[in-house]
Order: sequence, then structure tokens, then C-alpha cells
Amino acid sequence: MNIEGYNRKWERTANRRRLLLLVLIGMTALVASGYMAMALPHKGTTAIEVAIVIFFALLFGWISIGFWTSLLGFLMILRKKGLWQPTRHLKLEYRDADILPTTAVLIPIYNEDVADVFQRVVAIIKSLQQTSRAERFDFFVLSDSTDPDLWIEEELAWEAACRETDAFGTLFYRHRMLNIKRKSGNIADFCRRWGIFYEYMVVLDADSVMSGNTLVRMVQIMEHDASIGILQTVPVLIGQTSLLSRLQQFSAQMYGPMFAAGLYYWQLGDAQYWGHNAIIRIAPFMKHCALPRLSGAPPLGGDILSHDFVEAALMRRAGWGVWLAYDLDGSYEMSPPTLIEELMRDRRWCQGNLQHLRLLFTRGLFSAHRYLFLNGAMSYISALLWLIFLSLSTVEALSIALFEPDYFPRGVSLFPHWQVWNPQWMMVLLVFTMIILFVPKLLSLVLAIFIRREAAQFGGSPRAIFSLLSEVFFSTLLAPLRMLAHSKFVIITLLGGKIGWNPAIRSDQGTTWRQAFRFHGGGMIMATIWGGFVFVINRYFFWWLVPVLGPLVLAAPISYWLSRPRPEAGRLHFGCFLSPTDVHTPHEVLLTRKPLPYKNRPASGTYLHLSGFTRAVVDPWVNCLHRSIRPKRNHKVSISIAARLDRLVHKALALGPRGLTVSEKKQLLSYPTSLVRLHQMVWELPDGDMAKSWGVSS
Amino acid sequence: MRFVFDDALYVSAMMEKHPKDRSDRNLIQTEDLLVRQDTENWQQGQERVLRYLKAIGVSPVQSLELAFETMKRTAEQMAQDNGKHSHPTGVAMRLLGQVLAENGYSVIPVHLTDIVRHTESAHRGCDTSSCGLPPQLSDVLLVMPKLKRSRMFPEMQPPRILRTLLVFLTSRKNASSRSQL
Repeated sequence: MNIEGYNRKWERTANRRRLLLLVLIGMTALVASGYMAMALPHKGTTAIEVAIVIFFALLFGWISIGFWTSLLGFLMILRKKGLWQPTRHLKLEYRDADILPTTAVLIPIYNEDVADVFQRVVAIIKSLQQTSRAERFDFFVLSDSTDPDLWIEEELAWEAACRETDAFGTLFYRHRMLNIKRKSGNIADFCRRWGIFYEYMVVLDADSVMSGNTLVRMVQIMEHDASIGILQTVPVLIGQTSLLSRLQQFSAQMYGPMFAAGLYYWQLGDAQYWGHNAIIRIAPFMKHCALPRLSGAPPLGGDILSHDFVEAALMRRAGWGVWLAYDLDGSYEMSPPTLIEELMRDRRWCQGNLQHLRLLFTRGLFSAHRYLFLNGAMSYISALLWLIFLSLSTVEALSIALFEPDYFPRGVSLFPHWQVWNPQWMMVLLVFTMIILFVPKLLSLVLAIFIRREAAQFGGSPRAIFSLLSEVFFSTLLAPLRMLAHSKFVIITLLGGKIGWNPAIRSDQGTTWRQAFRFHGGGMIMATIWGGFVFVINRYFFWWLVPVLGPLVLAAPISYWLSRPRPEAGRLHFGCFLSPTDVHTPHEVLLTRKPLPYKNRPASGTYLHLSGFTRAVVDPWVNCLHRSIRPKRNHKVSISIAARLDRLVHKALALGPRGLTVSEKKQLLSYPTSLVRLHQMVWELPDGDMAKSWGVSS
Repeated sequence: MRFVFDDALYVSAMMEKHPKDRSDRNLIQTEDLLVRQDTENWQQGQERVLRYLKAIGVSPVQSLELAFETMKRTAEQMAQDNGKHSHPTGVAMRLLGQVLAENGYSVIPVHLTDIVRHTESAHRGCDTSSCGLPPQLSDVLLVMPKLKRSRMFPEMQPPRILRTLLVFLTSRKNASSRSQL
């Protein structure tokens, strides 16, 4: 296949579509900013009003991207199938004898909930075993976990998962001692060690689920289109029970398909890669997509944190397409359960996306990917722009209230300059903004109820409408909270503050009042003072600010209430936010709910109550399993290391497991000979405090 | 079941030492305590051995036999050493490995041996790392496939245009400082 020739055809189409999008966005921003200028008292002639109009134009242009993308997506879905759609190959009949190449499914994990991760892995394997192609897939759990207890639990869970699915020899586990370059380094490590054995790799997250059919279809698409380097699916949010999560799950399943279709429309083969639920062609990935280390210190130097966008840009630079399979189902992930966890994730992504600004002028990148870098950074910078816009508007409103108007700003004249505030034009602008923000949601409702006839999957038409209106209400409440948090993140990052990539909390534990006030307290105080000033000085403008300041003042209760887990299984919040995955839960999602009893292995074990590291020392079964999993060393350990390990063993015997640091535990776990020696010596301890601390005394 | 040291033995030992006067009585009491302590130590050793055998999945009947043999050897060992080893638990646990090996048992838990049934699925040219496992287990405990290393080096050179501006504006001298949210 002539990849270059093929690429040029869709590139021409993509360029036309992008030009159309640019014109639409530009026109929208121009018209809206014109209205804004005419609505202001000085008609945009003073310095503050010029700044207000500029910020407004940027922000309006930004929100209109979503509007036009959704509208184009709506038209795409009405059209059913496009010329360039990757899934068009799925219409072809495949013979059972068609042999698929071997594919690796990678699940990188970092201090995750072991039970949840391996339950999902088992669910995916079982779903794949129901197809006839399971033998063409190998699974790799790539652990970067730093907690020694979790390390041992992962090994136990791996063994239990292999036993449950009869996957010895196809489900592999690798634990990495050094977390170099985080997730991208984890994937690169796999590529260096085993990449050459496989044609493709499917990258998942710790909270991802994919159906077996979807995995097979993805490989088939890659096989039939040799120009595709990365094929990204659109994961559907599932699984959490808090009101915030159900809100996000509902909106992802209601609006997501239309928005994804719109993204596909103008991106075509220059799509994004989101780092998970995607299939990658390994050979070009290894050749072209290794990430360098950026010069300078973090946050804008060092390791590239948001690696996915950069890898997509590099793949495309090498001539391979990055496509969005927007109509391929069977791909799922979980949303953050609480608002604080969502904002902490955004904090990491903000730092990663701002780092991309350094790569804007990298040689050889396509303009679409430079735009995507800018787009990613703007996702967070726009929040700061909004905050600045509100601040400037407040300054303007206060200055009008506090200072005498100057009717002759340009000196003596027969014609005074009347400063007229035009609230009716402001109302028009407000309506215009509402259309931009809410018409896409209405279109998706029309699509769901009248065109796809999927109302039943959202609980029926009345419930779907009620859910949509509720979602609009809650989104309006949450927008100012996100705006303030993102603004803070951008400022902190630009001032040099950095954040580590801590493991995400995926369990539905809710937010406590203390956590809520601690996180949102500063913003609440600021909003109260801001609102107080404006209320006293310019009451008319105060009412315009209420939709923004009100939620900010009530941030802690909103965060607490929206993040509470569902009290009873099966009960919906207010009877709404039902989504298709609730009505017809996919089989692979149901499989994730079956617990994997890895802690109760073996059934006759008596050390099940011990933590991972202690159990590895004491329990002969766990000790043997761990030692056999560790890679065999072909070289002898040096004298200094042997001496250090000897000291550690004696320290462990003298002080018990609590006397060892995390690093010391990891060292003992890394050297099987020391571990077996410790195991023997612990069992030889006479009954006493030390034996009790290890759990071997009677 | 205390098949080596039981109350009958203790009582008969005491009956032989019939106290005649006060000093003898004190001696008997001290000896009494020592014997009790000694008995407890042996009891602990025996229970420790039984617990270990249970942990590696040996059947209860076999466990009793193996524990009896182990404790017998422990008593012989300690008699030969003339009190060099103060606690029978350590000696018993060291001798247990010998006893298991002689009786055809491995210290490898029985529960892992049923993985042998999955041998047929462990292929595609893979190799295993054993770390002291018997061959039949090392063949099947495939935690990672065989390595075949290849290269993956960055091609991309980040541009220097924005670097100067952005890093200049945002760099801090103390690279380890972190901002708290």
C-alpha cells in the first residue's frame, strides 16, 4: 500500500474541513465580541474595555469549538458512515481461518487497588476467551508499584487470575523496581524487552475494561489498514456511584458519541491518543515515538508527563495515521469518584499540557498536532482567561459606580460622549452564549430519542429530559469551581510549582467535610469578599455575578454532596442519570463485579491476616511464589551488597517488620536468597515478642 | 496431642524427688520451674513444626509422623550438643527440612504443584526463571516470557526557542521544592 499517497487524499479532505471549522469559529468569535463591544458603556474604546473584548473573543471562540464540533458530529452521525472511517473495514467478512498476528495487551499499574485491577483483567480475558481468537493475545500487567505490600498482593492476584482464567503462559506480570519516566517509561520498558515478539499492543489503564470482540476488531482494522499507527477508541465512563460520577457517566454516554464524531470529522488521521484504550503498531512506535527528556527543571522541563499527545504527534510525523474509532463500542473506563480527585487529576494534566507548549515548534510536526498541543494547554489556560475576564468586568463595573463619568474624554467638544450601558444587548449575548453551550446537549437528546431511538436506554424520554436538565444545572454549578481550581493550577505551574504523579483514588469513598473545606476554603473566602464588595458598590452588576460567585461560596457543600457514594445499591440519585450501561450492563462489565479471592490463597492458609511483605517472609507458599517470580540472577551478588543484605536480615529479626523502612523491605524482596534466609530464621525464632510481631508464635 | 512430653512423665519425675528438708524443697521448686519452662519450650517447638507442615499443605496424619520424627531428632541433637542450643524450636525447624527431604517432601508448598497441570499452555518459546524451584514447577511458573531486547531511542529534539523563554520565566534554583495545594 502506498501510505504516502493514501495519506495525501484524506489530508486534503481534513484540511478543507479544518478551514471550515476555523472560519466558523472566527466568525462566531467576531460577531460575539462585536456585540460585547457595543454592550459596554464606552463601546470598547477604553483600555479596560479593549481588554474585556479581547478576552471575551478568546473565550467565546474557545467555547464555540465545542459547539461546531458537536454540530458537525451530529451531521456525521446522521450520515451514518464516512469515507475514511477506520471501522468501514469491519463490514468485510472474515474467515475463521484468518490468522491474526500476536497482540500484547498492556495494563500498567502504579499502587492501585489490586483486587479491582485484577478483577478487570480477568473480565477482559474471559470476554476474549468467548471469541475464537484468544490465543493470539498475551496480557502483561506492568507494575511500577512502590509499596512492598502491594507488590506481594499483585503477585498473589496474578497467580489467582491465571488460575481463574487458565491463563498461565498468556497472562504475565512484571514488576519494575525503578519508576523511570513513569507510565511512558513503563510502556517503553515493555517494548524494549518483548516488543519484538508482537505486532501490536493495546494499552489500557488500571481502570480500563474492553470487550473481547472489540479487541479482535481493533486488530482486524489495523491488519486491513497498514497506514494506521494508532487507533484510539472512545471509552465510556462506567462503574462509580457518586452523584458527580453518575453525572459524568450520563453526559459521556449522552453527549460523548456526537462529540467524538465531530472530533473525528475534522481530525481524521491527525487524531489524539489518550494514553489508554487504544491499539498501537509496535514497530513504528519503537522507532519513532520514544520520548526525550526536556531540558531544564520541572514543571516545564524533565520527563514529559502527558506523553500520549506527544507520542501521537511523533507517530504522525513518521507518516503513520492516528485515527479515532468513534463508533467502536466495548471500551470502558472509570471516572474519578469525587470532585477533589477529579481536580487533582486535572492538576497533573494541567502540568503535562502546559509542558506541551515547549514542543509547539518541534521540527516536523503536523500543524494539526501543534494545534492539539495548544488546545490541550488552552483547556486550562481558558479558565484563567475567564477569571481575568470576570475580574476586568468587575473593575469596569466598580469604576462606573465609583467615579464620575467623563462626558468629554477627548477634550472640549459640542458632542458629549454618553456612556450608555446596554443591558438588552447583554441579554442577547447571554442568549447567544446559552445557545453555544446548550444546543449541543439538545441535539444529542434529539439524536438519542428520535433518531437512534435509544430513549429506553436512558430510562425513557421523560427521564432522559429530566436527567439532561439536571445535568445542565449541576454543570452550571460546577463550572466556576473548576474555573477557579484550573486557574490556580496554571498560575502555580507557571510560577514553577510542580506535582508528582500520585496514584489515583478510584474507589467510591466520598469526600469528608474536612477535606472539602480544606480544598475549597480559600476560594469560598475569596468569592465571599468579592461578592460583598460588588454587592455594596454596584448591586446591579452583583446579580450578573451570582451564577459564578454563588457556587464558589458554596463550594465545600457542593463538593461534599456531589461526591457522596450512593447509599443503597440500585437506587438512583433523584431517579435520574440512568445511562445505557446501567440498563443493559455489558457482559464484560458484569464480569468485573465478580470478586477474585486472591487473598484467600491457598484455601488452607493460616497467614491470610498478615500484610504483603510480612506474609512473604512468613508464609511458605507466598515466599516460594515470590522467589520463583523474581528474575534469576546469573551473576553473583557483590560482597558489599551481600553484607548489606545480611545486616538487613539481622535488623528484621531484631526489630520485626515494623522496624524496616519501605526501601529495606523492597531490598529484601528483591534478593530471593536473603528472603529465604529470613524466612528460615523467622520460623526458628522462639515464642516471644519478635515471633509475635512476625505472626509465627502460637 | 503431646506424644513426647506429657504430664505423666512430669509427675513420675517429681515423685522420684521426694523432698526431705527445706533446701531440698527450694531445689525442687527451682527444678520444677526449669522443667516446666523446658517443657513449654519443647511444646512450642513441636507446635511450630506442626504449623509449618500445615502451611506447606502436608496432610494431618503425615504431619504427626513427620513432627514425631523431627522432635525425636531434635532431642538427640540437643543431647549431643550438651545444652549448646538453648531452644528446641530453632533446632527442630532446621532439622525439619532434612526430615521432609528424606520422606520425599519438598519445602515447596503442595498447593503450587497443581500448576503442573497447566504445562501444556506454557509455550511460544518461553523460558522461565526458577530460583531454586524443582524443574517441574519452574517449567510452568511463567511470570514473564523470554527476553529479547531491542532498542527504543528518542528521535525528537525539543526546540530551543520557547525553552529559553519559558524555563527562564519559571525555573527555580531549588529543584526539589514543591508547591502544596
